Amino acid sequence: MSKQSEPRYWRSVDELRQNQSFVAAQADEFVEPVEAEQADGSTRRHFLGVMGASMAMASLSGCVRRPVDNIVPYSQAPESVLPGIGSTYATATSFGGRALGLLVESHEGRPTKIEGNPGHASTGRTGATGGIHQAMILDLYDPARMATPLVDKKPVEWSSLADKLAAHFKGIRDGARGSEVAVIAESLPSLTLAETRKRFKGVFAGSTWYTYESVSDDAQREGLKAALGEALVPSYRLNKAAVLLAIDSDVLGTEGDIVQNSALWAPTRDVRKPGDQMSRLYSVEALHSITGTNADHRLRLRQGQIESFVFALTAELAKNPAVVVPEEIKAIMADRSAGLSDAGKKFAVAVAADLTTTRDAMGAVRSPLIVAGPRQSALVHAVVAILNKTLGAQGTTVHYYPDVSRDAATLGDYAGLAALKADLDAGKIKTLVVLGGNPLYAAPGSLELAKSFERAEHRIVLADHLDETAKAATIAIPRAHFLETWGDVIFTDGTVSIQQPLIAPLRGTAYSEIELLARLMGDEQVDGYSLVRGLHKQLHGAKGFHKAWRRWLHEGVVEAAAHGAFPAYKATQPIGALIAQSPVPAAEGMDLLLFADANVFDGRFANNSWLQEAPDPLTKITWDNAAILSPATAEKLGIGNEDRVRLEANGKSLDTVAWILPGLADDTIAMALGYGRDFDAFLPYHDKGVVGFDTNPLRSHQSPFHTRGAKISKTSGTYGLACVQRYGSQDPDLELPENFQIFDPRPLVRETSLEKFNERPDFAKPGIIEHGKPYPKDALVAHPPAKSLYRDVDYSQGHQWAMVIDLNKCTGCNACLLSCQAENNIMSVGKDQVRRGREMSWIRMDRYFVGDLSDPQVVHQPLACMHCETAPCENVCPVAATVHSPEGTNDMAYNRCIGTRYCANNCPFKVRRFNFYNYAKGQPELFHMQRNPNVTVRFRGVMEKCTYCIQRVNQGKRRARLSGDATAAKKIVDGILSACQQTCPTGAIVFGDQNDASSKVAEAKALTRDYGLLTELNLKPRTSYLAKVRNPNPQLVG
Amino acid sequence: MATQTHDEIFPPPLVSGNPTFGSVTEAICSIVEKKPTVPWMVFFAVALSGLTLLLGSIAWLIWEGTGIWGLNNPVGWGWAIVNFVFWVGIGHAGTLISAVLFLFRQKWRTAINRFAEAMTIFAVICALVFPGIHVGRIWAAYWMLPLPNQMGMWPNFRSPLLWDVFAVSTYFTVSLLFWYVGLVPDLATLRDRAKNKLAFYAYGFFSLGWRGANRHWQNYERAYLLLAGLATPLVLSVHTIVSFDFAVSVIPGWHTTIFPPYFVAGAIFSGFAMVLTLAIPSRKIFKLEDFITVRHVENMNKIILVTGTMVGYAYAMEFFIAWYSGSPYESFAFVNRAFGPYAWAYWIMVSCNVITPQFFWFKKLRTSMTVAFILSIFVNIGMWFERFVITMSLHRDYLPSSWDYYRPSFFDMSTFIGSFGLFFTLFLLFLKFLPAVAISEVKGVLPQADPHWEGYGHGAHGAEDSAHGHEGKSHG
Repeated sequence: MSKQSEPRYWRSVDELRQNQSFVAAQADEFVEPVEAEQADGSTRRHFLGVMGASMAMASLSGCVRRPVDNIVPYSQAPESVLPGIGSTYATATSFGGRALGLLVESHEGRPTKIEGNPGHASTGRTGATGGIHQAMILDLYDPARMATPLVDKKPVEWSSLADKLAAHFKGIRDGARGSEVAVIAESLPSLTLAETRKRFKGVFAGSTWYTYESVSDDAQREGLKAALGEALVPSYRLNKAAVLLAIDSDVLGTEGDIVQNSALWAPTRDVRKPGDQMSRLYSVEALHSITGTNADHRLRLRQGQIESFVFALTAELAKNPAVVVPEEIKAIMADRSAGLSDAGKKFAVAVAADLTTTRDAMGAVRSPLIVAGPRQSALVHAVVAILNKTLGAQGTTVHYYPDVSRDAATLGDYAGLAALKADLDAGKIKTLVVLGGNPLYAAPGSLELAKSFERAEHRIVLADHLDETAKAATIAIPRAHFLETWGDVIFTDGTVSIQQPLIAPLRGTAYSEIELLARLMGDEQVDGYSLVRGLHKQLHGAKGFHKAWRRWLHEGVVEAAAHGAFPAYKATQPIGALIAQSPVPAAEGMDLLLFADANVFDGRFANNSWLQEAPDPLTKITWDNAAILSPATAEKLGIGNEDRVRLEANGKSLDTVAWILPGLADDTIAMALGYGRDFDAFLPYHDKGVVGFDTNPLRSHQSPFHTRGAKISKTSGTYGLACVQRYGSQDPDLELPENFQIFDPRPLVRETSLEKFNERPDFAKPGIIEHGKPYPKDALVAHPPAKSLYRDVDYSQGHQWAMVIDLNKCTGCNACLLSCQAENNIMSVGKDQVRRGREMSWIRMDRYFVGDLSDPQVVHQPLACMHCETAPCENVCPVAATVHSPEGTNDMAYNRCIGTRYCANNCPFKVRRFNFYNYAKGQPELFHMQRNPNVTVRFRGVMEKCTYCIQRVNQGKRRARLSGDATAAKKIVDGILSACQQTCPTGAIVFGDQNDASSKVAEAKALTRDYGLLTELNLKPRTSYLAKVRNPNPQLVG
Repeated sequence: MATQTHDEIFPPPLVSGNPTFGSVTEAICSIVEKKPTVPWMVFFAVALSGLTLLLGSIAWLIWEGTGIWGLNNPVGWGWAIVNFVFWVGIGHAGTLISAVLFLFRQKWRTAINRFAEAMTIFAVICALVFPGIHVGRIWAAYWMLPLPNQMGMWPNFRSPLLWDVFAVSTYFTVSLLFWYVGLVPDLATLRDRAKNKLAFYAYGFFSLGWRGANRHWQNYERAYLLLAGLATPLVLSVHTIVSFDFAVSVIPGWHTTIFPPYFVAGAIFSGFAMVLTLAIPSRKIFKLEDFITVRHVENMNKIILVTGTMVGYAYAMEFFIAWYSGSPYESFAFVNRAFGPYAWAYWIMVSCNVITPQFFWFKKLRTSMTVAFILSIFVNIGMWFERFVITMSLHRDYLPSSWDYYRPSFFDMSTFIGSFGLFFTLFLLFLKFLPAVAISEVKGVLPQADPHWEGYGHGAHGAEDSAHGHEGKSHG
């Protein structure tokens, strides 16, 4: 047989044709696979080699504890889910009756970060949120949330619960015993709930429905009802208010639509060049609130005198012929303003003149606005509404809307609770349904509600936690978190949003309010989706509904507002009746003032470690509340910081702790609500137990926030508070004995008046205080030029990241700090560790007092890593774990860090945070779900600090690179937001590429107000500040 | 007056009691050869419990984290660094006494140099414990060394901590070698007198075959001289570089150019105080009064007086410069030291370091063993507080918002106390197993060693002889 005739099997064309290289390759049995070489020259093989060596090293150090984690990879990955790339969904939430439109980021199905919806009016169209909103994500993963329903304190199956509820309520319906049913609900601004409530009242005829909020605007509703004829909710347009008078109101801090208010207020404080106009903020208060600290003028009055001030102001305003004040008010204003101090009278004259100046120097219209807070009486609210009307504020700077969360006919929240108690005591109510809220904790102590609560035979409680109320329930039902359930939310101005869940209930099942009510009513449709969608379909009409619904879910806003385009304004009503029932307040003894805590609010967020650890904006106390006193009062009573005291009010007493806060009115005790609750979330270095002191027992339902004739007395011993900033002055003299007070104050926060700014716009530029000149402001001189020991690096190329923080806009609200915590996986450490000075928050919200000890002004300064170009932390690190990137950021290589803490010591700003312990140790897996997958969770012994959200920067750069066209890429890079920047309601934080002259940060850096901290050390910090400009009334200066 | 003049012309003998070569050998070697005494055992038990405390504290530290100490955010360095600088400082006297005084031919040093060198080694061992354990990730502390690694990373040569690593380890190595070389002839003596096999082989191994040959002596003397020359600059460099840990930073109270000389003076000051603290009881217990005489103690007291005054001058100069600089941060840092929350520590420091040594202007106090011992303890306390005061500059620097206060925790204290346990354990072992006084060197300063010595009989006790035979063995 010839060779040709043999069949030849060939493997490829090359072989058949005997290609040269193929033949060569054939000879080499163990062919080198083609290496895909990376741009940096490393190969896969090299990579594997390095990895192998690392693994070997790792196994050598086997005695070291490393967190063990199980990875469950996708075997078949769902399409469109990319690990590390989050998706964002629009939803909305509310607490205390105030809604906020949200965009929530989700990674592999886990919601991880809450942002504001920039398309939603509630965020002032900024995409900002408040601090509490940021922390609500942690509540979702709170392991202490109730997991299973309890019937008579025993866990039951959901199905048997449903049967039991259905049977019980069927019995009531069938027997027409609706009058035996009462419902007590939180104030939830929801269309579906309002609708369900209406139906519920139909199904259970004769039933009663109460709305209860621990911090409720009862007086405001009552006052507005008297003045305008209807219990309305005001919605402010602070962007239009040239003069804002806050009467005992924390309109920028804790009360009302704070995100919108702050967002709209900020642009009026944006002074960029001489001649720019600026709004003026007056604050009259006894407490020291965030709004008060941001005021151009703050009048410190005792609580009882505030009403006198309002009448003195009315009297002043009435002198102006353009201001119409009803005769009935005119008749009482002299009497009721009699007790006002001289300073108060002077203030009233100046404010009245300012409020009635309708044109500014440039001839533009100046709109005024007066706001009053929940601690003020109905009469004050009525007078304020009347003044706002006559001053032209109504319709420009304030709009009124109906309150959907309450029936128009209902009593006030506190009166309602009293009525409920009477009904319970009378045995009228057999079945009591608690729809969220925690009335047994939050009810005023004067009601003694707990005893009456037991009188209802069936106590059905829908609750997040097994809290005070749920413990007293016969049936306790786990409530769904807002990210677990369908609903809808109405913002004050009527903007409706669909509350879209991002995750199925974590514990399998949980009911929302509407779902529970639907079951009680025996509805066929009991799932939230059908209920919400059903209602909106009905409202919208079937035509085109599907498309509209999808659009609403995508945008987070329903086009049709709930209240129509613009509500008709009511004429003011005579308020004679209200005057008759409002006695002249008599001053007696000390005032006890209670207020919603800036962090845990009314106590509903007490189990949230981020909020517990966020410092109070004024006292800087974490993990506690305290009886706050003014320095003069404390001295008079011989009480010092952290002394144990006994507080007596309304016949009850509370053993608590004292803290001195400059700026508080004298003879006043201020204390936050929301404490005294069990903290039951796991932190490895924190002892579980009660946090702070429960002030609710001291409250009376007639006057829930203000008690006259309170007593405070020192008892023995002290109580340790975890205060993160004990030194409150920029002036070191105040920390030394009097004989040694020779020091210049430090030019950290630089501020001036608008007038002086116009004269000298670059007042903040020079570096240092001229020796011997008084603080503040005009004593700054330039430091001689400083030179670096090392060669200067050229940062003129590429992106150069930088940040500017506008001190004019920063209100000190903590939102940035909590956003940073959520974004960057920052651990809470617990009270004991905070007391030891080991808080981990990357942003320190510095608060300084300026001026007189009794009545100081306050400035806030958020401080994170400055990313100094010549960073002192970098050259001292022996292992080069902190180094500079070519883009100007000071980066931490956590893996390289051995924890010498030298960098932190050498940081002049002390913004580096050290993991003294493994603070993530043993945390429940639920908490792991919140973590941002793009940020390392740091182990103990490692230093950490602000990274300028480098993960966001890199993500933005990647997207820009992929976008493929220069314009789009620039837009993406311009759109990179640091977490703090995104969340700041006032837009005080600007971050971006300073090499790009058109970027916002470059624009801000070019302003004359721009200055760096400690530049005389030649640090060249990348974060700079815009100096503060206040706008004082010339009449009140000097 | 007359006696003083006489003393100056004819200095009193460096060794009193007119011993012979043999009695010197006997007196010093017997400490090693006899069974441990009861006081030694008691002290050793105490020291060993201290060591156990140290090891326990370190074990808990490694297990739990740096958080067991009292450190906080502004104060990132606490007792660990204070102790480190304290022990390094103590470790100065040994080399200074041995090397510098050797180079200056200060023969009085012979009685105390062995002692002082041992103290140096042990103090540096104690010091070295702290930089190793004070880091957050102890298991990665070796990354400070320039070791080849898969990342191709060098350590950061700009960091003073890295300079520290080199400075202290070099100092330790040279000091150890210097001490060991000095020990060789004495180890041979012990070998020759050994009664049991183990001791014979152990001393034999470490005496490197020393036979006392002329060539041995020549090599030995040269090596000793070279090492003394090498060690001398190190005395100055170690604490200079330790001071850079502070001086190179930007923190007010740390960033001062006076630190290098001030630290070196302070180190010598504390080192001599520690030598006295150890030598005075030892000479009593081990009956070494003839070797460590009043003159030795007086000389050391004079050095303490000089260095203490230098340290006091540095304190004053720091204040002057803080004011003269015109920097408000710097001025504040110093006034805060003296009148702020840590004023108590500052005044303890000033009273112990500046006021206490002034007593040594008086000869009567200078020559009193009791006074010298008590004052040396004060100086030790004062110098520890000096490092504490300096380190605590951290508690109030630029931004008042970051200010805080540091309180040591139980483990800060236990680690510090434990480090004394380590020190005394090593020191007691040294006393038990090695000649506490340099036998061969002391013999070198005996009157008999003088070529012009006029023979026995001039001394008070005459010429009852001695172990010439034995000497012959060792000196060949």
